[in-house]
Amino acid sequence: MFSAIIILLDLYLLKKRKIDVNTFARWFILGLAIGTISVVPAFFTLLYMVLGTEVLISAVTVTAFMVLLLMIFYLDYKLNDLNDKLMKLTAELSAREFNHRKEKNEA
Amino acid sequence: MKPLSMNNNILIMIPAYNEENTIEEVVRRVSELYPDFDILVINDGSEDETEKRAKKAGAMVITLPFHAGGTVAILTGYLMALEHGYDYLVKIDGDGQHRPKDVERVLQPVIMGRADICVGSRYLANKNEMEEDDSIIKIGGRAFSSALISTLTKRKITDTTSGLRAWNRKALRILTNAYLNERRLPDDSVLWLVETIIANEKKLKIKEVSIEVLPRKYGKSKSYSFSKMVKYPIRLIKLLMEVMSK
Repeated sequence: MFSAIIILLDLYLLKKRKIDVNTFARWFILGLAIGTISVVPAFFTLLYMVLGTEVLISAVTVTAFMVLLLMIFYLDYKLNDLNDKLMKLTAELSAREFNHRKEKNEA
Repeated sequence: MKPLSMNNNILIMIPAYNEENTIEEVVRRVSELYPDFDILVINDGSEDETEKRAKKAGAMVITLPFHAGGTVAILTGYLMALEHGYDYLVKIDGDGQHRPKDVERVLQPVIMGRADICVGSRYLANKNEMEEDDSIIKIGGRAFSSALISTLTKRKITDTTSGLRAWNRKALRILTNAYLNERRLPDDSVLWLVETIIANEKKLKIKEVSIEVLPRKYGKSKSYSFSKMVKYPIRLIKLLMEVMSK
């Protein structure tokens, strides 16, 4: 169910051009992966063997935590990127705004 | 675009954040000594009367829309110098610690063509020079960063954190392009280190001249805070990795 919601939401946002193709692909793969793991129990068994957790629910929790961490990492990266762009824009706009104001005063 | 006033080709920039106690005096002293130079105060989103007092003293003032930090203020100065066709740019601090008469000391090698960037060094003449509020951590940090930069750039740099500097147009063009198009903006605490590394990579000539730094009259240095001191080693490691990965 959760998987279906992610995929449908992803498709809807792509159709409305609210997200780019990369973001769509990322979330689509994530939704598909969650769906596959949920539908095929063998994947879960494999997963908790890999993660070293003996109780199934722990595997789900650990996976969710890891996904969350990855998302935070990604968001942090993007936030940093945006902050850098904002700072560069601030410098450029401040200089332009000063020039504009000066030209206006001279006129 | 023409220079902001008259026909001179030297711009003095003074980045300032909450320097209402000193900015007026700094601008007045600089303009008395160098009446032909244009003076531009870059007000980094101050919450006090910095802008008003700088204007009162006769400086042109650019006010950033929020407190963006020293790097953004300095980049704004570079952009202004380039856009208005200045041949040379000098930066002096707004806290009154730099002596205005040292401006010509840093300008001379750049104007004479002996350097693209000239840095005023507190330690060139006296290696044991100390500021009033120096602590063992600050002294250690400065010594380490000087040693690191000297090793990385293979040239002797005695003062990696000095804010009294002069650039020629070539250096400004190269540095501005690097900051806007080639890399992320560095944090304030490592700006001069990064700049030295870029200058070294781009084969710009850097020269140091000896200057004297006066004790602060008001407030504390904004270059040193607990969080900055904690983050500084991490930033140095990041810088080191960046240089070594090339």
